[in-house]
Amino acid sequence: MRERNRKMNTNQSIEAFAEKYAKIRTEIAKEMIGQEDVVEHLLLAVIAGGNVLLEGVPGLGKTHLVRILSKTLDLPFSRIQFTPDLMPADITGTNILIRTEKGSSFRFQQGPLFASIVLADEINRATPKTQAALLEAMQEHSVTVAGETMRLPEPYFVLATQNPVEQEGTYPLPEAQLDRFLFKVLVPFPTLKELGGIMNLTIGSASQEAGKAADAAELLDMRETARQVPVAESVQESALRLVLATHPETEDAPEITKKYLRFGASPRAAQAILSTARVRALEQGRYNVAYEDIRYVAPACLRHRLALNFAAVTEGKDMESIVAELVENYVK
Amino acid sequence: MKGYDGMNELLRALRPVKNRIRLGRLLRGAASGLAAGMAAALILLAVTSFVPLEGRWWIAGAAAAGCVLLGAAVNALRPVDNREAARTADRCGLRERTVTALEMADRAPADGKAAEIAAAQRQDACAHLQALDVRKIRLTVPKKRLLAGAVLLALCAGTLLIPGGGDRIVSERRILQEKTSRMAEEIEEAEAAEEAGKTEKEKAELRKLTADLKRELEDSRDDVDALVAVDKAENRLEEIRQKTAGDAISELADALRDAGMDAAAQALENGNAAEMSAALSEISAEELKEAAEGLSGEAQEMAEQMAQAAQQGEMSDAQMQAMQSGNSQMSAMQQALEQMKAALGAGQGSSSQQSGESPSGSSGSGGSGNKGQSANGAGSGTTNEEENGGGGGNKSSASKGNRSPEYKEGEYETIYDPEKVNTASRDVMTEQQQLGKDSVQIETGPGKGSLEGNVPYRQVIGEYAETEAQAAESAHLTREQKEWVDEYFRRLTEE
Repeated sequence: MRERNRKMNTNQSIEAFAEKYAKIRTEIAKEMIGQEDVVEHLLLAVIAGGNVLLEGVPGLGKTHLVRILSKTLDLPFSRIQFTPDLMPADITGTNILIRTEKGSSFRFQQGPLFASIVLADEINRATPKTQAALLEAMQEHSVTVAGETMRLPEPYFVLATQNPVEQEGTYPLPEAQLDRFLFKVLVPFPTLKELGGIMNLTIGSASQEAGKAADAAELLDMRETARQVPVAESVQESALRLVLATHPETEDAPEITKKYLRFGASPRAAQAILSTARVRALEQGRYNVAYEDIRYVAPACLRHRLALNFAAVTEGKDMESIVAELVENYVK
Repeated sequence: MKGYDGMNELLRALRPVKNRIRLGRLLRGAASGLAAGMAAALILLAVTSFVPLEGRWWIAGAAAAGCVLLGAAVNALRPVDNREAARTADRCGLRERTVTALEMADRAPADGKAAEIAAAQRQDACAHLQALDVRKIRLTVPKKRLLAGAVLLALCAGTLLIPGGGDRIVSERRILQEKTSRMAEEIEEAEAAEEAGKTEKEKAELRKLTADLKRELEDSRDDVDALVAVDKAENRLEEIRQKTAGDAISELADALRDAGMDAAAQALENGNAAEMSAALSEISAEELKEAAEGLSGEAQEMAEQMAQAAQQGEMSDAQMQAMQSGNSQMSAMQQALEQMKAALGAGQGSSSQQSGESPSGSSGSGGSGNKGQSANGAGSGTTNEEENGGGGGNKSSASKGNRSPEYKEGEYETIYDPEKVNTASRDVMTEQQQLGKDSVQIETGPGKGSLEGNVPYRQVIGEYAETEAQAAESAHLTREQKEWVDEYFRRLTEE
C-alpha cells in the first residue's frame, strides 16, 4: 500500500513537474514578451540549481526578467548594481556596532546576497575583489564574514547580467568565476513582433501582471525529481565526449578545437549539461534524457567556459559557431 | 523480479522492431548474395564456355539463386541485439526512450523516487514502442550491391558471346548418347543373330564383347571415343573369329585324318592352297561332306568350301585365306560394327568440319585408305586409324590390319604394295558386297596366290610415311593425332 502510494506520489510529482513548469512559463510570459529561449534557459538553470550569466545590450529586459522570475517563484529577491567602487562587504554584509541600553555589541547586517534570487546587475563593472566575493555564495551557497560562515537560503541563485558592448571601465570575469555559472544566456534583440508586444505592454493599455506559480518547496521538489531522471550511457557519453572535445591539448581533440580554442571546459560543464538536460527532458514530458536535450543545453553550458585563441580572433571565428560545430559532431 | 517483468515487457514491445530489422537484413543479405551469386555464376559460365558442362545455365542459375537464399537466410537468422533494436527504434523519434529503458532494466533496481521514475520511464518507452509504426524504420537496400549484381548478370549474358564450344559440345554429346544407345540396341540384336551355331564358350565371349562395347559406348564422351570402342570391339570380334576358325580347322583336320584324307588335313593346317589343290584332286566332294558330318557349323562350312574347290579341281590362295581367317562372309556383328563406324565416321566428319578438329584414332583419309593393305594379311601397312578414315565406307576385310601399331610393329617383315606388282601379272580380285546402304570393297591381293606384290617394307616405308604425313595435314587432325601418325611411321622406319 505504501509502495503504491509512493508510486502514485512519484507519478504525481512527475506530472506536477510539467504542470508547474508550464505554469511558471505562462506567468512569466504575462510580463515578458518574446525571449522564449532566454526564459527557457533561465528556468532550466534555476530548477537545476545553477547560476546564470545573462549577456545582452542594455534595455532588453534582463533585470526585468529576473524580477518577474522572483515574483513568479515567490522567492526573496535582491538586486545589486555592480559598480567599480562596490566592496565585498557591500554585498555579503558586515558586522555593525549596535548600541542598546545594555551596552554596545556587534551584529551582522546581512548584505544583498542573503536572498534566494540575487540579481548581480552589470557584474563586470565591479572589481575582481568584489566579483570574487560572489564565488563562495555561488558555489557553496554560504557567506563567510569575520570567520563566521553563514548559510544562504535555499533555493539560491545568482543571476548576473553583463553588457558585451561597453567594455570601458569593466573587469572581465575570471575563468574561475565564469565556471560557476551554469549557463551563459545570450539575450538577443527582440523581433519586430516582440517589440510591438513590448510597446503594447509597457506604454499601451494592455496590462498583465505575473502571479505566483510556485514556491521554494515546490521548486526544490522539482529539482529533486529532475535529478532522478535516467540518462542512457550513450547519451551521457556523448555529453562527456563533447566536453573532452573542447580541450585542444588532448590527442583526440578535433581540428577546430586545436585550431581555435585556447582552453576547454571544466568537468563542471559536463555536470551542467547533464543536470539541465534532465530538467529539460521532464519539461518536454519525457522521463529520460535524449540527445536533443544535450544539444539544446550544451551551447549555454559551454560558451562561457571556453576561450578563443588568437587565430580565432584574427580569422573572425566566433564562439557560437565553434560550439555549434562541436555539438553537431559529438552529440549523436 | 519487477525489473525482470519490466524487461520482458520491453522486449515484447521491441519484437516488431526486431522483425523489421531482420527484414532489412534479409534484403541486404539477399542483395549481397545476389552479387556473390552472380559472380559465381559468371565464373561458372566463363569456365564452362571452354570446359563442357551439361546444363551449365541451370547450374549457374541455381548457384546464383542459392547464394541469394543463403545470404538472405544467414542475415535474417542472425539474432538481433536488444541494444541495436532499441537504437533503431529511438532513431524513429523515440528520443532515446528505448535505450534508456533497456539500460535501466539491466541495472540493479534503485530505491525510492529513482526506481519509480525508472518504472515510469520504462512504461513510457513501452507505450511509445507499441505506438511506433515500424514502417518508419527504413529498409535500405544496398544499391551498390544490386548494381554489382546487375552488372554481373549482364556479364553472364555476355558469356554467350565467348567463342567457346561448351554448349555445342554438350549438344553433340547428347546426340552421341542417343546415337550410341541406338547402336547398343543394334549390336545386341546382331549379337543374338551371331550366336547361332556358336558354342557356349563362343557365345559367352560374344556376350562379353557386346556388354563391354555397350558400356564403352555409354562412357564415350565424343565420336572418337565411340569409334575407338567400336574399333576395339571389332578387333576382339576378329580375334574370336580367328580363334573359332583355328578351332574349326583343327576339328576338320582331325576328321579328315580319321577319314584317311591326311594330305588334305595337312594342307588345311598349313594353309597352303597348292597342297590343298593337289590333295583335293584325289577326294570327292561327297567324301568330304561325309567326313565333316557331325562337326561344328564352322568346320562343316569349311568342308563345304573344300568340297566346292574339289568340284572346281583347285583351291585358290584367296579361298584358302578366307578359310584360314574364318569366314569370308561378314557376320551380323561385323556388319553392325561396320555400320556403327560408318555412322560415327559421318558424324565425326560433320563435327570435324564444325570444330576444325579430327577425332583421334581415325586419322586416315579416304584417299589413303587402300594404301599399304596386304593380301596375305600378315603384314598390313595400315592401322585401325587409317582404315577408319573420314570417308568411312572402304575397307579391306582381308587385310584387317586393325591392330594397334605397338601390337604389330614387329610383324612388318614384308608389305604388300599393289603398285609394286608387275602390271602384267597383277590380278587383284575385287569383290563387292552389298551391306545395306554401304558397299564394302574387298581387295584380296594378287590373283593366283602370287607374292609379287610383297616387298620389304623398308623399301616403301619412307614413301608411305610421306604420303600419310600429307594426308594427315589435309585431314584437319589435331596436333596430338598428327604426332601419333608421325610417331607410328618414325618407329616403323627405326625398325
